Amino acid sequence: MKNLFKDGGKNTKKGLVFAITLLLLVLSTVMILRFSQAKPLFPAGEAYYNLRIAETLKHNFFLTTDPVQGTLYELNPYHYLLATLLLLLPSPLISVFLPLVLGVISALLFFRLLRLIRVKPSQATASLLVLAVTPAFIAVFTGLYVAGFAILISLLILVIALHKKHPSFPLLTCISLTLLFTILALTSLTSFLLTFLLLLALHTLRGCKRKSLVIWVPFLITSLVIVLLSFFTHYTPILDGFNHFAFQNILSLLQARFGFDIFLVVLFLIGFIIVWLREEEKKPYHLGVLGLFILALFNINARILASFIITVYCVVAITYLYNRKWHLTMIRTGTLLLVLCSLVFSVTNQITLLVNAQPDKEMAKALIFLKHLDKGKVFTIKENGFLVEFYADKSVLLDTNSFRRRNYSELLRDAASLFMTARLREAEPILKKYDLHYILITPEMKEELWENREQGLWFLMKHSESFIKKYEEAGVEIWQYIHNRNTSLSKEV
Amino acid sequence: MGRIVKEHIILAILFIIILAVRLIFAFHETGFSYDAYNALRQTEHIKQTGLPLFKDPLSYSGRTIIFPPLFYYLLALFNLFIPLAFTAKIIPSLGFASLVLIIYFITKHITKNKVAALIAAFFSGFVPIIYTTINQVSVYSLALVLIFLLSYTFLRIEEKGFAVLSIILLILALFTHTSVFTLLISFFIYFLILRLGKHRINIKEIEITLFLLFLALWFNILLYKKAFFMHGIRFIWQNIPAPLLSSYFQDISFLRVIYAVGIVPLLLGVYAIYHVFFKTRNRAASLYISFAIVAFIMLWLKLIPFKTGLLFLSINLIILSAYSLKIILVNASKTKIRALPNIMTSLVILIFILTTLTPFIKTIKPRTPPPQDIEALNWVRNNTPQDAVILGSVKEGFLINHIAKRKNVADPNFLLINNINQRYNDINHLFTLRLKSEAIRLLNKYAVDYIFLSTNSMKEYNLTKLFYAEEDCFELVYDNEALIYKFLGCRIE
Repeated sequence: MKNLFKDGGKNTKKGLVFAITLLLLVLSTVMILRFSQAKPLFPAGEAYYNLRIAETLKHNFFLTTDPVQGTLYELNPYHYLLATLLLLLPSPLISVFLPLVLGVISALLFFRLLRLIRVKPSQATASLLVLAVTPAFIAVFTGLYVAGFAILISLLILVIALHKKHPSFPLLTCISLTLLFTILALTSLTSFLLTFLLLLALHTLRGCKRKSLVIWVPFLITSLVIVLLSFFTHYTPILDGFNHFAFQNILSLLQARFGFDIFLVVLFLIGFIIVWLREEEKKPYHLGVLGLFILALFNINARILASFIITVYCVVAITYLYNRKWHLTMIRTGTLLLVLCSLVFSVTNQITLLVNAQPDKEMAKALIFLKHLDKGKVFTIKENGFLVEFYADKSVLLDTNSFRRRNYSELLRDAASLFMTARLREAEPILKKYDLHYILITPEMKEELWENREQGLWFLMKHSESFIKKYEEAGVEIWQYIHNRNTSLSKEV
Repeated sequence: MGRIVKEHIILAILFIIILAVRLIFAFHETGFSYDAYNALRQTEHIKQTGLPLFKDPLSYSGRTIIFPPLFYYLLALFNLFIPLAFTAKIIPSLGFASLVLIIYFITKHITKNKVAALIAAFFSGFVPIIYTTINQVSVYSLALVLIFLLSYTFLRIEEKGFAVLSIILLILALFTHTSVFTLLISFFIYFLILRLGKHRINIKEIEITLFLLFLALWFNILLYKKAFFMHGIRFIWQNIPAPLLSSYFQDISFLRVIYAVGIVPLLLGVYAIYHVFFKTRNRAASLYISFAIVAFIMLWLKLIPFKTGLLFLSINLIILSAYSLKIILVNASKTKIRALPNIMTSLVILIFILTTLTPFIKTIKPRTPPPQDIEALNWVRNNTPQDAVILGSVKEGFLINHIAKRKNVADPNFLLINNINQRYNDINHLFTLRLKSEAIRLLNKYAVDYIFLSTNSMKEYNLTKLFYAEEDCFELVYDNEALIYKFLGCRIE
């Protein structure tokens, strides 16, 4: 930690403490607000899968199959970290503190990285302040997300590789980088490649061409490890996090959980133009950042990484607006006030998004009820998949990991047909094909799938004797499908 | 105060002529176009309560509306002294007529030529597209005035007081209509053009642009946040139902532009663009070139409603045409024929009149609802329960609210309405269906009490009565060209 403050004076130290406090405040606000509303700690999604797998790993460290879904388990170092921590500390404590700790460490590493690439201490501290209001940062470090762990490892790699002292211990650096690269590659292959490219760029930027072996050797060894693993084990290397271009995935304003804030994008573009005009010799690197920003429109890992990097440009823009001699002083005050308001908007918007996200206590109650029903596969939308697996300990037809399955498109097609059919003769073959026992319906599903009108599967269940309503409260319904029942065609809807 | 000179008198006469022409056409018809009835209702509500109707109990049988209300406040202000039927005809006409003055001042600033500026002002008063707004109580009558005034103050930003005026105008424009964004985007294209042309960029212009951009972004995000969340990027297309989208956002064609703008302003405008880009350099003209380019691209990419895009494009081309006119007049004055500038001026005006006469006449066609339909809705107001829901075509939605003072099923304000495509299709089905059971299901879905089959709907759907309206479930309660059926509340078991 001493190195952290070495470059700056007392003001930097104060600034850094303030930035970290703000960061912690923002991150913990999400959790406190969810807790105060009696909602489960994490918004629906990957966090529940990671926690469930870690709980399983705690008892069986050499897991090969997901015990609930029965699918192949893809090794992920983050799950092992979680499992190890769960051996030492209770789950609620880990759930609250691990994201915060990872967030703070990532922020400090980012600060260190900025200092290593000769960003002024004040600017680096300001970048942390902007980071604290960045939507993707808030989302990643208020849950147990693999992406949060991946970003931490990426930053650690960058800091170690760019550290001035490593020439004295090239072997040690090489070994630690190889280890970290391997962990990162197993955690997220996309983050691994992005980190390598970023490292290469920063290395060249710092003028360390002679020492590039320290980067290439770990990279090549890790690549070899990945290739060997994919040949000799069931590990499948996948470039994760890609999605089609859609504004709903990119802008937090449009409810993207890991998106960019529109005002930060505007500030980034202003900052980018400023540095582009100012720093002639660094244009290729700025072009690289622009490339990363464009990639971020299609990839979630790139988006999270870019969310860190663009804070530097945002700071450049804000500093420029603050320091320049304005011809119109009234406009200066107005503009700075608007920038400040936009930063506040960014953070409040993201906090609202995360606090309002499902599951709420009604959903959790329904899922716990489902847990106590007989064993059987559950049919619901894939966004609810991890929640059902975590709370109800039951397998689902579709979850967010289902894209890894070979028959994914068939699963999607069948699920869509099942949701839309109001005829038992069409629904029954699908229900039997996947051995589905329960159907979980939420208010969101009613609105999005059936426009709040009794139609499709919802209509069928209400009017067919093959389905029994097991639970209904606050719009959440659980239905049981009676297998092997002699349904007469006269009863069919 | 400058003294009154000849061109000011000519300008005043031109303004009076254009206002008179508009008023003659406006008062020639007794009613307003279909969409105008929303403005009338908002104005009435503001006059009565002092607040706009953000929570409308009648539209869509009860919904929330978001819109910038300044225009309706302006109408309400005049409505304190003048009856609404007059206010709603006079104020928009005044707005469009005053564009003549603004165009004159802008073109005079660009060309420093009074004759060219007067001709451009004349063009702007009689360009066919402007006359499509007659009796529409169009918000553009204020929005265009504010936007072009803002562009004018932007050009004179160096002069004392114009920066403050720009801010005031932007705030007024933001409270009037979202289309001010078109101008803000144009500012950036303008800077790009200046940069490419190696012009010095005025720092005050950058400062004011940054401020205006932040202010506009901030204001619109706050105002339309709910709509952004709900519709995502479809917000740009105002959540217009898919079948209607092509009529609002049409393909742009060269012939349609000629028809709307007139061949003379188009040719002169295009020549001005060529001249500014390749021969001379003119900063002010560059701004309007940027504005025209942005309007054209937005029209081309269907990001702006067709008529709005053409309004912007035409006014910018008219402004640019003044630049070409100046070149023509200056060149003509250099010849030995003394009368040549006057001949050229007369010729240009004559060609403009001849080429725009046909589109002008075709544009001035009645768009008001037939009196039979108004009469039928008056009957509804006097003879139906106050909470009755009236089904009419979507186009007639505002009419049902304003004249009958009853709830409608849908109207052309689609923002913040869920499943709009479904609703739109259901309404169309309800006019064309032959199957009674399906009609009853849909009527119950929207809790319809009366069906208003207007003469306009009869033409549109090519029918004389509702096919499914049998006596057991429907009673024909009004039959005077337009038909009104009472739904007796049958249900399908």
